[in-house]
Amino acid sequence: MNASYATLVLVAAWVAIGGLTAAALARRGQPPETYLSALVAWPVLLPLLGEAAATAAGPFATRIDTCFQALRAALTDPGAAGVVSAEELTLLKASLRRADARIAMVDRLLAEDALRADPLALQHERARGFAVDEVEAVLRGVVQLRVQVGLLALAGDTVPVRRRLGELTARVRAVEELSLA
Amino acid sequence: MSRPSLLTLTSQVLRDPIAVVDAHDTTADLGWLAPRLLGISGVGAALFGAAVGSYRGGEQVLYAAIKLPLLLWIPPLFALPAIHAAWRACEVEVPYRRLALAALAGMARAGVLASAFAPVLWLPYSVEADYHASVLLFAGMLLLAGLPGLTAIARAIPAGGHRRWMAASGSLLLVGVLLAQTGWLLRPFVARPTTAVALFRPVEGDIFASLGYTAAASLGLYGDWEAERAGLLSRERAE
Repeated sequence: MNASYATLVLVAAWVAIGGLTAAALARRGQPPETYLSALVAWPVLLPLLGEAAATAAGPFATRIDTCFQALRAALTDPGAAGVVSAEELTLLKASLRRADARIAMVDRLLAEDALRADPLALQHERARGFAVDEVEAVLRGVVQLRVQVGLLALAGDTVPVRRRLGELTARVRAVEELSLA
Repeated sequence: MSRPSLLTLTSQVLRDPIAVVDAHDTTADLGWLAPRLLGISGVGAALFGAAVGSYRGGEQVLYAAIKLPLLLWIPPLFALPAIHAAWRACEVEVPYRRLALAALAGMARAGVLASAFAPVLWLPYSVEADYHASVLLFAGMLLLAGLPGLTAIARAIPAGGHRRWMAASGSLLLVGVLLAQTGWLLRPFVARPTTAVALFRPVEGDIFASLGYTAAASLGLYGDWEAERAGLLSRERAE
């Protein structure tokens, strides 16, 4: 095998893997610019294969982003450095987004006249109400967490912040478990 | 969340690429950002490539503009899984998604910086600079544009772990070697004024021997360097 042939084989393999990745991403409902990028840069898009396509933003999407942006800004204070890791916040935010996406999905179902008449619709509405209350409570908790981070900068006690974060994580997890049950 | 415009995103990756990585921490964000960051790095690198190709002029402007984005993309894309493994080996858990986003942001930053260097490169090229000095100037500019991009990836790595310096230096070495050899395979970028314009030169030798010869030649020390084929390439010669 000469060098030019080996190079061609490598390029073909790269593009073939990219093509397969692009096809898989297209099946998952990714937009064309995303799945076409996989032809060139499939290694960076592999995480997208592990999840379903991005769901439509739910009713709390903006509040979730605003709350977490403010919290991240508060955590950049040198006094709060290292108390909460970026990964912990990412996980909490992702859980909230999933709960928000499920609320959006139920909203879409309930918007259909045929499904609204179904006896199961009442059950959906009750479950939605519970999920909405929980997401709101967690968002309030995130705001309180920010206040506690501010206090931490003055008092230096990291325990309340860690405890509050643990409570919020457990609460969101409970909503997820209930939704999956 | 309201998505930033392409212009805002370009400004953000130039000023603070880690802020872009932190603000877009979900997989859905990765799907939205990937094509845009690839586009920014591609356009920036293509502009730089066009300036590089202007040394020879003609079709070389187009060829270099096509090849420069590949030079910017291939090394980090190839190295990404190995970098991820290296940091995990040093007990630093960095999510692959975060690393991928940091690599894209770093590439975009390098692309924007490269496009900013294009006029700086074009000026000496337009006054008939020496070929070997032009190659070294191109390599130096590429290094200047690439290093801030690499630091973006390094800064995305969380704290903690053991022997971080090993993972950091290993990652840097890997990307450096990949960049050098990719550049060698994709040459010519700055084509010699006396040779015919070609998209690629035949594969021969390696980058390290060539850089040594070019450095010596730029000082007026011309030897009789001949590209030596080795490994896979030596088999080609034997055939």
